[in-house]
Parts: sequence; C-alpha cells; structure tokens
Amino acid sequence: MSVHIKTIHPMKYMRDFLARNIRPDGRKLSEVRPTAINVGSISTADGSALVKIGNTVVICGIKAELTVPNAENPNEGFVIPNVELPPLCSPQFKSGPPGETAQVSSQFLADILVNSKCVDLQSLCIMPDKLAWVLYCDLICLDHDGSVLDACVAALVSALCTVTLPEVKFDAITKNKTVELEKRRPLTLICFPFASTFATFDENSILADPSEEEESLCSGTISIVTSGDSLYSVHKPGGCQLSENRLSECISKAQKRSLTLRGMVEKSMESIKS
Amino acid sequence: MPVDHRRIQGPECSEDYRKPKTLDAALLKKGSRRADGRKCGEQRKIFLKPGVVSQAKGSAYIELDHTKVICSVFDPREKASRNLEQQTVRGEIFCEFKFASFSGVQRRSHQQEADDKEYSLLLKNALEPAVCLHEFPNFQVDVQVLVLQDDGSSLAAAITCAGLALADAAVPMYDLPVGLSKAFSGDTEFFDPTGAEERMCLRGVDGESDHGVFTIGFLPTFNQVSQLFHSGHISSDRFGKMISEVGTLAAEVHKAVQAILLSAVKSSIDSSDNSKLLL
Repeated sequence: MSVHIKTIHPMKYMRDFLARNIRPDGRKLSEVRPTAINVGSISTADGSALVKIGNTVVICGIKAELTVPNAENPNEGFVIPNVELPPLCSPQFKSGPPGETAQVSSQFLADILVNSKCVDLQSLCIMPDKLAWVLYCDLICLDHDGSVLDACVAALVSALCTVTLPEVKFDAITKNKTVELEKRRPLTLICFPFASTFATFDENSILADPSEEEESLCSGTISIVTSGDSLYSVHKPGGCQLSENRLSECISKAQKRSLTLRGMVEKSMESIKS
Repeated sequence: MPVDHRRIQGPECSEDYRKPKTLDAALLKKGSRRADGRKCGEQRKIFLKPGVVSQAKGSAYIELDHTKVICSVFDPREKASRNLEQQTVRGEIFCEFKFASFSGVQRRSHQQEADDKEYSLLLKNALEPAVCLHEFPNFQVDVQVLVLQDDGSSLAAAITCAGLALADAAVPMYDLPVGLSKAFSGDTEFFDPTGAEERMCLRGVDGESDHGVFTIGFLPTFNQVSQLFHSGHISSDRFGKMISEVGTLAAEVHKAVQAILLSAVKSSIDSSDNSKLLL
C-alpha cells in the first residue's frame, strides 16, 4: 500500500514522514548517508579516487601531461576538472555532449579549485614559461542518487592527494625533456575543501545529504564548500528562501562534515602507503 | 584540437610523458610463465558483481585483475524512429561502449573515438543472438558500458559483464553470453591477454607469420559463437583448432557467471521474504 501512495502522491508521502521528523529511508533530518572513500585503484591514472555516499558513486581519475604555461601566468601549471554524467548513472541523462548539470558541476569544481587555492599551481611549473604540468581531473558519476556535488568534490580532493608526479629535467637550450619515471614526488595540497548539500523542503525542513528522490521533490538545494573553519563557496541555485539562522546552521554542519571527510581521506591514504 | 565549449578547456596542446610498456620476445619461450605468473591457457581471476548501479534496471561490474568494466541496462523504451513503416516485430538493443579518459596508458578524449564506436557495434552483435528480441517489439533496451581501466581483454570482459547486467535487468534471454579473448604470436598463445601481451601480439614479432588477437562472444548452452573479431593474421588450420577449443575455455567463465547470478536471485528472494514478514 505504501508503495502506491509513494507513486501517486509523492509530496504527501514525503510530508507524512517529515511531520514525524524522519525521512523515508529512515534517516534523521540532519543525518548523512554512510560514506566510503577508496583511493589509488586505477593504476593507469596518476591519481584516482572512488567516493561512495549512500548509493551515489563518483570516480575521479587524474592524468598528468606536459605543456607550455600560459603567457599571462608563466609560473603556473594547470588543473582542469571535468564532470561527466553518463547515461550509465541514471535514466535522466542522454548520451552525447555534456548537458547543463554536468557543465554546471564542472564549473563549480573549477571555481572551488581557484577559490580555495587547494593546489599550488606554481608547484606544477617545471620551468617558467617553458614547461609545466597540466592535471586533467576527469570525474565520472557511476550512480546518481543525489548529492553528486558532495561526492565530486570529495573524489577530486582525494584523487589530488594521491597524485605523484615524476621528476622532469628540461634543458632550455636543446629543448630536451628527460622524465625520470622512478623518482616520483607527491603533490602537496594546501587545503582540503569538502562540499555538503542540503535540500529545503516546504520552507520548514532542511534535509542534509538528500537522495535523488528527495532532491526531485524539494523546493531547493544549497551546497556549501568548507574546509574546517574556512568557507569557500555557497552555491544556492534558486529555490525557496532561506533565513540567516538556517543558513548559519547549514554552514556549521558543513564545517563539521568536512572535518570528518578529511579524516576519512587521511585514513585511506595511510592504508595505501602501508 | 577543436575547442569543446561544453567542457572546461585545458591548454591547447599537451603531451603525455608515458609510453605504453612493450614486452620482450623472450616471453615467447614455450612452457614459461607469463609476466603476471599465469600459464598460457590460464584465465585471470574474475570478480563479478551484479546490481551495482541503484538507478539502473540491471547492472554489473567485472574485474579481471586490472581490467575494470561497469555496465548498466535500462528499461525498454520506445525506439527513437517513429516512422510507421519502420515498425517491426523485433525489439532492439542499443549498445554504447566507452573507455574512460583515464583508462589507458595515454589519455583518451571524452567523445567516442573510432574504437569506442567499433566496440559498441561488436558488443551489440555479441549480445543480440542471446536476447529474445520478439518479447519487446518496437522498444529498445539501452546497454551502457564504461571501461574504468583497460589492461587487455576489455571487449571480452564487457560482453560477459553486459550479459550479466541484462540478466540482472530481467531482460528475456535465451542464454548468458560470455566473452573470451585470445592473443597469439607465432606458436605461443595467451588466453585472456593483458594489455602489454595484446600490444605485442597485434604488432607481431619479426619472422612469425601468425599473430593477432581474437575476441569471441560465445553462447555456452547452445555451443554457438555469436560474434568473432580478429585483428592480425592466422592460417586456416590454426583458426579451426581455435574455434574447437572455445567451448572448453568458456566453461569456467560461464560457471562463475551462473553461480553469481543464482546467488543474487536467492538473496533478492530472501530480502523480499524478510520485508513481507516485517509488514
């Protein structure tokens, strides 16, 4: 019987649950789904990570290539994120060029990398104006069950933690590059930003880490990117109004979550070193 | 490189620092073990799991050591062409095969390249004979395959994975298709080759005439080959011998796929029984 109400009156179904301060999948309003982070599984990539938040799965593979730096920033390398939402992850996506959601997510990640200065671009430069690294960070969503931005940011940061770059010697006169494949140095990150998404429902309830069902029924979402005390981004695409108190509540929850996620990434890094 | 306005652009041209690993001809000594310690006729350990994508009707994930492939199958939907004259009594399978950009030694483009398109067609040919297409006329079933890491035999792994995903999606089928691949160079044959072995056999070692890689889609219950793809050069007797061996080679993989499917069905029955008890 409950299955029929869910199909015919999804909003009523949702409201009945929220009236009792619980969500259809049994979680409390501010409870996040179990998260798992696995790093270094793709050996062909220079860095990789797989993040699973509930059913949402995002994999990030980073490939490093050599290029000439920009004339405007001759001392800097590049980090290029790209999010792909293939038809594999959900029936709502069609094959072909990236749709709006994918483009927005890619731009969101690019903005976070710039705002947080997570990777020191100058450390990617081998010889100013002549040779630098470009890190192509390709994220693919394998299962789209809500809070994809959270999983994307976590996967990107975890994958960047695992990147090791070989030493390159560049002779400016002969323009010869020698790559020492055995000598690899890890990439150092300055900060570890993590995202937390919240869905607002009926202007009263705020659900942390919404699933796909909840995201489709909610009146708006807000994604907050923090790293401990620092706030890097608040992404609220339209949606209903949010009071200042609610917003600060969300920000503090996001800050706590970013510390938990950072702990998880450090643990998984240790497990591959051992 | 043409500018792709829908993706974040990197620098105009960048160079990969890696070169794909090549193997020595010293590997070809008869009776010696391969680079990863296997014998010539030995298959890599298979890890296969159905039901990995919650949003898809059916899905499966396969791992053959370093080759990792994931497949999703979606509910039948109406065929794209609405031309009344083209309505037939058969349904269709639409396959899309893609290598992830970080799956190979060299970075791949985001769009489907020539080999992605070729493999999509080969996959469709391998799966079609196994599916009861008359059960869903004028509808098409989408099969999406993504290779997360390619270390040889990715098409063979995709065929096995897609077969399991179709079964997981309860698409009516005659048989479980199984994918096999074999590489050979001169007298040596490698069953389930790794990436380096495939590259060596495709190139051919100087002086040897027979070389290449075979990918076979096989229907074990009917003992029929649904699809055969060969790159290279082979003599006709060698070819006949290879085909006669396919049945025995496929038996191991088929058993594994059947066992996994059976346990998945059992656990879904158990969990639905449990939920009835709770109500």
